[in-house]
Amino acid sequence: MKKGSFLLPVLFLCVWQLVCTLGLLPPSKLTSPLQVCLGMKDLLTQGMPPGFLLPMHALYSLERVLYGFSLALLLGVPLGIAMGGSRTLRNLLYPMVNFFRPIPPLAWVPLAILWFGIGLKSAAFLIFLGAFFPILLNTCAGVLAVEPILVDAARTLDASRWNIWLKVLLPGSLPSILTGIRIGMGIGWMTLVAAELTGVRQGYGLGYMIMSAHDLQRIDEIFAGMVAIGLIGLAIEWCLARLSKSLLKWK
Amino acid sequence: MSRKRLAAGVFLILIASLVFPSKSQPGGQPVRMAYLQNDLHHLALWIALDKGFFIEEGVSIEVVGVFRAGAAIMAAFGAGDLDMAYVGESPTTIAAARGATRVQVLAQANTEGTALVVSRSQSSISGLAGLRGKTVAMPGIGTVQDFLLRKALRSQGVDEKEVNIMVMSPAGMLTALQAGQIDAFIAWEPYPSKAETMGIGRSLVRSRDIWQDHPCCVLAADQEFLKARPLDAQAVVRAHVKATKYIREHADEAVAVAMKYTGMDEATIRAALKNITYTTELSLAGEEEFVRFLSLIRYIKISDPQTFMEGFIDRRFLQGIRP
Amino acid sequence: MGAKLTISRLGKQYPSDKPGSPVTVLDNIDLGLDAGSFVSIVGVNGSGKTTLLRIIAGLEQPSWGAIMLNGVPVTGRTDCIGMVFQELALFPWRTTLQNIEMGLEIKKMPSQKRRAMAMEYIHAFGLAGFESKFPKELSGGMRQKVAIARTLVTNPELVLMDEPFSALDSQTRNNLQGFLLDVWGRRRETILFVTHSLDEAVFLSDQIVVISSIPAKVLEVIPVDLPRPRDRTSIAANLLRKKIFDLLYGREGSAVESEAV
Repeated sequence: MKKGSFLLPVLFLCVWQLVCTLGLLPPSKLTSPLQVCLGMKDLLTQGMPPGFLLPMHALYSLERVLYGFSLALLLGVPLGIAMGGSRTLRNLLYPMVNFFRPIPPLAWVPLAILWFGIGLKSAAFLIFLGAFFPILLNTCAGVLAVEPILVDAARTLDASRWNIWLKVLLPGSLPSILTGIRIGMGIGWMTLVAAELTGVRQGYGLGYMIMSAHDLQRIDEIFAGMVAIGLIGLAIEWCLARLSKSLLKWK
Repeated sequence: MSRKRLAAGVFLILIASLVFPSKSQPGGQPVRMAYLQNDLHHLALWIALDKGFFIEEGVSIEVVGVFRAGAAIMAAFGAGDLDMAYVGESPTTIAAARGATRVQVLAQANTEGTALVVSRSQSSISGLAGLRGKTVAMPGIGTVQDFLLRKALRSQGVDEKEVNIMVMSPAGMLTALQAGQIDAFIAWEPYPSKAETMGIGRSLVRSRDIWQDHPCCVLAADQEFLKARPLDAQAVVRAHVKATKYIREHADEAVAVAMKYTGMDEATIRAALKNITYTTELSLAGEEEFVRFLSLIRYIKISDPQTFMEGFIDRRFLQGIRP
Repeated sequence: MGAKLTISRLGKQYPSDKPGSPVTVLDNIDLGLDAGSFVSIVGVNGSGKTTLLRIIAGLEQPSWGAIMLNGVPVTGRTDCIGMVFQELALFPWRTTLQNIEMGLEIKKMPSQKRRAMAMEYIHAFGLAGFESKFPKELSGGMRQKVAIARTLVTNPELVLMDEPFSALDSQTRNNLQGFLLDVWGRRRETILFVTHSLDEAVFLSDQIVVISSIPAKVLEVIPVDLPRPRDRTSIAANLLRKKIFDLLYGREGSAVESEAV
């Protein structure tokens, strides 16, 4: 991270704190950065609901997201590769994909509960829905973007269809697949709060934490919860970026 | 006037109307109210609306929303969208304690009227201790039901963490209980009675067994509204008292109105009404218990309960009425 | 080492926008290559040279005609025909070593043996020290060396080369021409080399096949009897270039259209 990229956020925080200190907006509407920090402290020490601390909330949420995201990966990459390699399949599936893609995961909550009950499975399903489409479409695009001449070169080296899939199309589309993964993971993480509306069994989850803060009128903890979600999302993105970089040394 | 100037003027007015929300005008304007979905505790409001008691008292009501849980009503108060509402005493206390909104309690709506229902298939559960390791649903953090559940568990020496307490809307609770996704739920009537008439659950404990005569729902009002339109507030309280009396004196009519507003069958409603006491009397001791226990479970932090309660409960509106 | 290639009346047509009048790219090409010879094909841009090569390589099917390798008909892909492409056709995610090994990998050669063979070529081609580099880290000239090594390591009898040096600067190009002649001199596969550089064709080949623009026909097959190593600046070389130029571009410098059959 470059030094200059800190300037704007710091400026933003100062202006925000100033607005609150001067009382330009009532504290019930806008919490100051200071109070958000204190709220964060409470989330870490007292917990919301009381006794349920932030790190555990984060852990359970991560579990839900990883579950849903893994499903999206396992289904999206092979299907994307198959679609990339077959015009017939593409023509067959594109209309359905483009129909379902714009439906926000939140709209699926009632159906998810109906099909998967309350708890982990329906939450994972919603996250799956969020992550699946970027992974599928980017994988498909990646396969289509592999230079035909590379396929030709492999053919002149007597590659079978299977060889072409494994040794040319898969590694060639890896950059796009990784892009799809990063986007899919990002959307999956964003879908978390909606996903936890399907019911949280063990009492842990960042979305559930924020809803509880809302129920107990702790606006400062709502803000702090959002900050926590944002920071974790940032960390995940950073990890994926590092992974991409090491896998794509050849680019 | 040039077109550009006209457009600019319209644009400015649009922006202004968004940035500066209009304040409610005194006199003639309806009183904006809300209640909870299918909450039989708020029957007095439905009766007053149905029988025209508000109009008799010279005030018109606009039902701004029907909400899922008390916290949502308190948020609406905080946003300035409500003048008065029927809502649980627990979420109201929490919101007032946090300074999220300035409301005052003008009258009681009911006492008791909540029950903890256990799935029929869970025949081994005979007491609250049997809830260890089970999944129990309740309508929301800070609701009266949440309050009662935790109070009950503690009284039996059961640590809350040993029970899987889940937040769920009461309508969802019936489906979830039937599907075996939860083992028990605690909710306001008529949901417990409905579970029984559906044959999917049995009452394990009624709220009166947890805390006898406990206050439940109240008639609350926004402080700004009270200052600006005390006569309208008084009219609403009078209608409320009339309606509460009506429930006691016209049981069958009350059942009919309850069926209309909840969509539930007569057997369920009649069973449910047996568990609820409709009264307008405010209990200071009751509110004190709310403050004490909510502080104990760290939902609120009140340094001076007495001062808080003085600013929270306003009996003047009730006192002006001879029932 | 090299194979004898015979092409009889090879034709290729593509359907066009107007139904009933397809586009003829190759019009009855006849060609014969002796085993171990180095033959160039020259023609103007867009004259179907690449299409011809792709058909021989088995990447596309001819519309009519026959291809014979050592008397055996070729239909589609044959594993004794290799191809070097004009653009970067190295697998960008594979190192030099892995690129060269690709053909052997596909043939399921065990990894020890693969590596040994590939390293032989790496040393022979002056690529030592670059075996772990990715194509993006190599210069244009090195990349084409890797491409040639990749093709040659599987010991094809016929090597097709589609303007492999045209993307290089002239100095590198000259170097690689010399390098190619060196390698070919020791191994003697049959090479069919497509180029639009007359200088290159004269420098490298035993024979030059001049083809017209689309629909492509063989205009003339010119033997190059000049002694090796060739002198680019000799009068004989110049005369040869002029002859080809006139064939291709006519007296006034415009491209020659083939006569209708």
